[in-house]
Amino acid sequence: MTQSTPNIQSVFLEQIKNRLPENISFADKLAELLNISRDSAYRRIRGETVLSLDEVKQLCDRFGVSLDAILSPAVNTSLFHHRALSTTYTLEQWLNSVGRNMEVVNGFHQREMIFAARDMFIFHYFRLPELSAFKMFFWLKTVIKDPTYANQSFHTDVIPKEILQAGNKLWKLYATVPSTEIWSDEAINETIKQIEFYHECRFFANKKQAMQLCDRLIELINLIKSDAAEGKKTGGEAFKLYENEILIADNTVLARMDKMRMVYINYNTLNLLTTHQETFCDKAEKYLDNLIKNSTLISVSAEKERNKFFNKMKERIEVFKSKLN
Amino acid sequence: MNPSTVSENIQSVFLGQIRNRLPESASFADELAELLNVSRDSAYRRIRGETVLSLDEVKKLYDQYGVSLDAIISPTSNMVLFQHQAADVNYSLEGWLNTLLQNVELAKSSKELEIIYAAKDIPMFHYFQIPELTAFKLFVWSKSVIKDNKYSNVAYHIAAVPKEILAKAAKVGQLYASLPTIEIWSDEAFNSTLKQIEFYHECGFFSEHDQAARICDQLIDFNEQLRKIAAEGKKSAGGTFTLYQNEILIPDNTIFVKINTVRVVYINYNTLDVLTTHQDPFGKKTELYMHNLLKNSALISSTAEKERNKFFNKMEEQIQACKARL
Repeated sequence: MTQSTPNIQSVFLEQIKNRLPENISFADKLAELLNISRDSAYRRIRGETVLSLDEVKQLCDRFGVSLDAILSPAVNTSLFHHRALSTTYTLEQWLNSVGRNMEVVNGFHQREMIFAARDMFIFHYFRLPELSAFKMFFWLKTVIKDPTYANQSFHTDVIPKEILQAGNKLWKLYATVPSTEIWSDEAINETIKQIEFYHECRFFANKKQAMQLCDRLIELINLIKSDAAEGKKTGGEAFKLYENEILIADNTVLARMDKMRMVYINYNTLNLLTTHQETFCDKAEKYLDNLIKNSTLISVSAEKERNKFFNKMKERIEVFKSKLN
Repeated sequence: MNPSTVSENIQSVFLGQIRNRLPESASFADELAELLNVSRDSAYRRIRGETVLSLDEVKKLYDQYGVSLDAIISPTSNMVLFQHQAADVNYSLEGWLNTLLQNVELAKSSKELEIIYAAKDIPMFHYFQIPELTAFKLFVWSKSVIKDNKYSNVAYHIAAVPKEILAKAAKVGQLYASLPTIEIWSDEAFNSTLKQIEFYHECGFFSEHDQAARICDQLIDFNEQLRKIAAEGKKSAGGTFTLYQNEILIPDNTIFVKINTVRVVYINYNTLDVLTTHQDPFGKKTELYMHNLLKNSALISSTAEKERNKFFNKMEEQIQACKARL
């Protein structure tokens, strides 16, 4: 049976063909993959035979092509890679997967990351084991409700060492990427609330735990403040910090690697959506540029503003500490 | 075509999912015949898997019913297709409002509806009921987020935002108020608006000196209205209002919508842009996340009078404190 050329079929096959090395015959490869004759493969390429959805599936699986993306090729759709911590996708997998991304970024000579952070960027917490353990425990017990932790209270050893190390490795990988971060002074509010919640629910094994975490948080803020003053991350590359007072509602990251760009959207705590799509990256870039225009640079220069900014956060922690007594 | 080569597996799953989206009274074969412009017999052959659907036909069905093929072909894949609607200089506020309107109208027309809104800021839809506050929010977006040149040298006054835009926003707000919604807020829900007021005040972006204080007064009234609908458990146009307070996670302005069995997720990013997906595995994960979030939250509408008042009092204090600083 002969049918007129289905347009989308040819677009689809064209995309598959583009993923093959040039020296490979497309018809041969198609015949092999679909287990059909060379003639049948040609008929599919010419559009005389309709590809069945099962054949489409085999090709999509083999080449990682999204059929949805082909069916709706509009500029306002993008394919995102989604990573969400769950009871089946473990923290370790998440850390390793993000770690591989950071290694890729580090592989480029020209590399840069820009963050608009409503909450302090998570890699910073990974600098200090106690805070790192608390954040991780909180995600597991309270956010994804992993049953392993349902009846456990928090103490520093509750998170395995290897996982804390994987977290710390992320920080180190991040430190070697030149970066710009845009924060508001609300960046630590969520963590303070979490400490308060655990304290009130008596989820801390040790009564002094809340106090200790506050001290670590102040320590972390001092570390970041000194990095900001230097304009350089400890043991690493450039660090630019902007203060934004009005507009940050979410956590968006743009990575530039030579000519490539990538956007990460971090939402619902540890969920990450990642895309390379050009129009999307353009928009994110523009958004971040606009955001920077509304922001004040407080790294290296603007000592007074920088001190005010970090002092405000420290005061908030001190006020909270005084309530603990 | 040789029918023996036709494997109907994915085709039948795909068509089955579409059938599930039709009302029970509709004839699936008739729908299919009409949409694909084929005879009723040909439609049946496709349903029975004797004729292979071409990708062009698949596209027609996909466009009409929004069934994700990726979700069927690779259900465990972590790739998710999103539509993005971004307000920018080319895509006007009006276009953005139209998209919102379409979405609330769609929700309004469906029988079984569940909406869970995890909100960092008080959802815009509530602001839309109050023209002065809507005008201020839209003005800040245009001038400071999108950086629309039209507004670069304009100070804020309510007439700076066209009446038609405010009318459209009011319509969206009114429709939203008729929908049943479950909302999760933190007591920081007014923070960004308050910061915007202070910022505009300090930058001299208000056309009249007492404008910032007036907006604060309107926010106090607004807070009272919200307190009232939370007490009643009902929004102004009759939609139920189930309000939870979450103290530990500041939500990200994510909306989960379940219409009949279809799950749609809206994620806000870059302040007022929206990512939308129908991909079911993603929808299910979000549903689970939202239900976990509800477990960490306290119900403060209809019941829990004391907690509710503490919550709204705290927000009122924040507004008063902002006003005092001006």
